[in-house]
Amino acid sequence: MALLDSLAAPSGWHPSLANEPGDGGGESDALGPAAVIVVRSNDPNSTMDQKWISPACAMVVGKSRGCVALMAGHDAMRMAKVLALGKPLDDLPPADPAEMWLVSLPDELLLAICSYLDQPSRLALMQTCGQMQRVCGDASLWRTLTLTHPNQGDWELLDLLTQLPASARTGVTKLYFAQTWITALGLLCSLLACPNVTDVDVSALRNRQEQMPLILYLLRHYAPRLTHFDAVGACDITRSITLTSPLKHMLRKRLTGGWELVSTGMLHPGTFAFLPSPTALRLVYIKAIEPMPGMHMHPRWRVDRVILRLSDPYGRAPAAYAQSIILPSKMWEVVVPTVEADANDPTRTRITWSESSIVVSSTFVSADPVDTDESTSSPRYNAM
Amino acid sequence: MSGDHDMVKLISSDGHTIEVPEDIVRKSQTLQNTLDDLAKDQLENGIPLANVTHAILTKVVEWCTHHKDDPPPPEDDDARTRRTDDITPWDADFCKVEQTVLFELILAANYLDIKGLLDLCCKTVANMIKGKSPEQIRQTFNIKNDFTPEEEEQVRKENEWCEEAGSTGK
Repeated sequence: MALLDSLAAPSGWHPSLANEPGDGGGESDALGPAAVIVVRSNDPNSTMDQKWISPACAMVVGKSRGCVALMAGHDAMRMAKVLALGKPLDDLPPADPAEMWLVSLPDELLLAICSYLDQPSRLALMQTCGQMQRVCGDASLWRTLTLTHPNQGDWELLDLLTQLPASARTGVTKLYFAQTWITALGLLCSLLACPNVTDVDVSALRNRQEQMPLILYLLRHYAPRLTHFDAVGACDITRSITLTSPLKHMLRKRLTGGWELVSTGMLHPGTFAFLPSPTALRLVYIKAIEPMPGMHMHPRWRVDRVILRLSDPYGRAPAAYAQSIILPSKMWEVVVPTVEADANDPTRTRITWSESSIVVSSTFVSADPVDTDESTSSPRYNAM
Repeated sequence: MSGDHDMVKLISSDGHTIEVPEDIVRKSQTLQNTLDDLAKDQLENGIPLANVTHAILTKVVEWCTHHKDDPPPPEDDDARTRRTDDITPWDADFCKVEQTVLFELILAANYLDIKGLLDLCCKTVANMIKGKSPEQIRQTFNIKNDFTPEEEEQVRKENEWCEEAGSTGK
């Protein structure tokens, strides 16, 4: 129990200790069994219960911040080592300020260490001193911003972004949202903070279905360099399309649950209309979307060219099958992929892709176009 | 050890000489290049290692000996998630040393170009950082907070985009 004296417990808290590696409350790692620390509060209404720490990283998992403050840190680390090693505290090597320390390492080696840190730890290290701020702010460490916390979306994102120096934010090229939520404001902030984002992955965003129209809208307006947008897994993106019930039903029936669409300019009112400019966007991965029989383009839209590439998850998409999906729609004209120009229509370029792909080249001119200018060949993205 | 011709003399910065089997020495890319570049008679007097003390060199040799049959470590892949929880018990025990020794091991591994050892030491330090607050990291690694008011102002300026986002979102 003398070991516990080294912990600076807040008033009102009484720590007691047990080494119970096998009770399920602890964890094992490279340094041995986890230390189990039981903290009880004098407050009968406290929700504090058993906490445990890992000897390797002195992480404390618990409900109470008070416990985190109590257990985390160097003392906890040393204590955890003692518990893991079964040695008294005094056997640990004492810290000697005159010796070599972390800040003595050259930047290239500090960068190597930082490459093993997760984002929160990198941010924490960044706030310790000027040298660490410079090293941890290196753009090479921040190419991808990943949000994975299951219960935090915007807050985690904003907390992260506000701590990143400008150099790191401008170095971010990919935003990856995994198992988290995000609102339009959160995404807007991230796009403003990271102006060089070229790749956004919302395939695992929990609220992607509800947010998809806004996500697409924001990407169009605030991600000028976007070239890759991954929404694979968001097959229910079609929920955000304004569809009549029969068409929606038909669409769902036709969803193959693994089809992938790659579009360089597919437009559809309510969804694809929000896509970023096709001059910037090169690839859009959206699972299980297919040309919809009876799909009607918004009368304000004129689409000059639509390229679709379909493939199933295993890379197989027989052209015949693909055509069977698309052909029923008279709005679509299937061009079997070839490398030669269409002799009957010199304006149409035939492109050869693999067997698992087809190209659809179509021209849509609305019955009631708003803009009658025929000189441009670019798709129109008028406000809806 | 098969014979004298398989042993290589390494001279630490503090003047100690240790003899190490050549296959162990070749775990170091730097020393491997040296062995390949120099003739045997040039190696008779030993290879001086100006940046590695005897104590650290002994630890390095210990690690290389234990890992002498390991395959070459894979090349770094930026896309790969860098794990720190895959340290073997032996390696974890090897790294239970004073911080100064750990950092000197990092320097030695970098100088001798022993990627596996460098990765191990970097992971160990990363594990010591993970989960700590900035103040706790300062205490653990004896880091002095040297931020000036000007630098704090710079941080504030860098976060001005937040205000822009707030006004845009209105």
